[in-house]
Amino acid sequence: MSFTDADLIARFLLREDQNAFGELVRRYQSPVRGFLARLADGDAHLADDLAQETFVKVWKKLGTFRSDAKFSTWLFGIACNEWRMHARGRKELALEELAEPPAELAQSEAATASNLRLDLAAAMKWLTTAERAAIVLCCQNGLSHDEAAQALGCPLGTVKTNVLRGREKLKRALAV
Amino acid sequence: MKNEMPHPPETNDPLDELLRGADEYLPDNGFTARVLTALPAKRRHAWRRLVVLTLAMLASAAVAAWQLPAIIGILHVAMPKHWSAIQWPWLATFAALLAALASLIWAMFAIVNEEE
Repeated sequence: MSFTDADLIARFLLREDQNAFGELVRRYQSPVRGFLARLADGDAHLADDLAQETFVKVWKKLGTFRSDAKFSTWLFGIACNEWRMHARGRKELALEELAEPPAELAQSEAATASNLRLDLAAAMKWLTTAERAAIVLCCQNGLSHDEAAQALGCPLGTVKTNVLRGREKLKRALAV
Repeated sequence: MKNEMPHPPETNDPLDELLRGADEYLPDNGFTARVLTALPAKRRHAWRRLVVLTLAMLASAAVAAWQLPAIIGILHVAMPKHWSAIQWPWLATFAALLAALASLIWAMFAIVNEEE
């Protein structure tokens, strides 16, 4: 028998059922770790640390979760906040525009011109953090623009623009 | 183990195919166990603390009320004459109760914030 997310959340809230919470973590660990790894430029250790913090926050705040939103949207919102706090600690501006792509990527533009395909992970580095976050949420995790805007805590128009710009950059980088 | 994540819409765009292909499942590899180990102590401990704090506050208020007349008496002797008209015992009791109430509210806020 398979429980829905709502069943697991109810079991956790009513009985503080650790197993129910564990099942929620098992279900969502992959998308959350993957999302944070994209934001962290592929740093899996950092992504795992932030994902762990995310789930600890979820454990503390699950009582405030309102079921009118999707659990995944709420969860990604917390993951985004964890990323922001981490970036602030490192004096970086998370989800802000980067002026230019990194130097090594500028060099690889020549490679693109000569029809060499960059691998997707490398091409993602062309994107600003905001564009990357929007692309991963909407195009990989299937969130609607509206849900992504909720999770990222930014206006709907900004998400749409970031998805559009991000896709354009990826298409150019990957020559697809 | 299946989550309720929506799936990205199926399109013929090669970029979407690439993005879908790159979205591979990350094996747990002990991640869930680490999260469960890192969870803070159970929340009911916080409420137990609130009960202990409340009882301690009530006990100290009782001791203060019991000893208050003696303390007030000593202070009354040391006070200037024109202050004697003020109802010090009532004022002191009111201040003590206010302080006790404030510390109880503070404790409750601290516990609620800790839970969040």
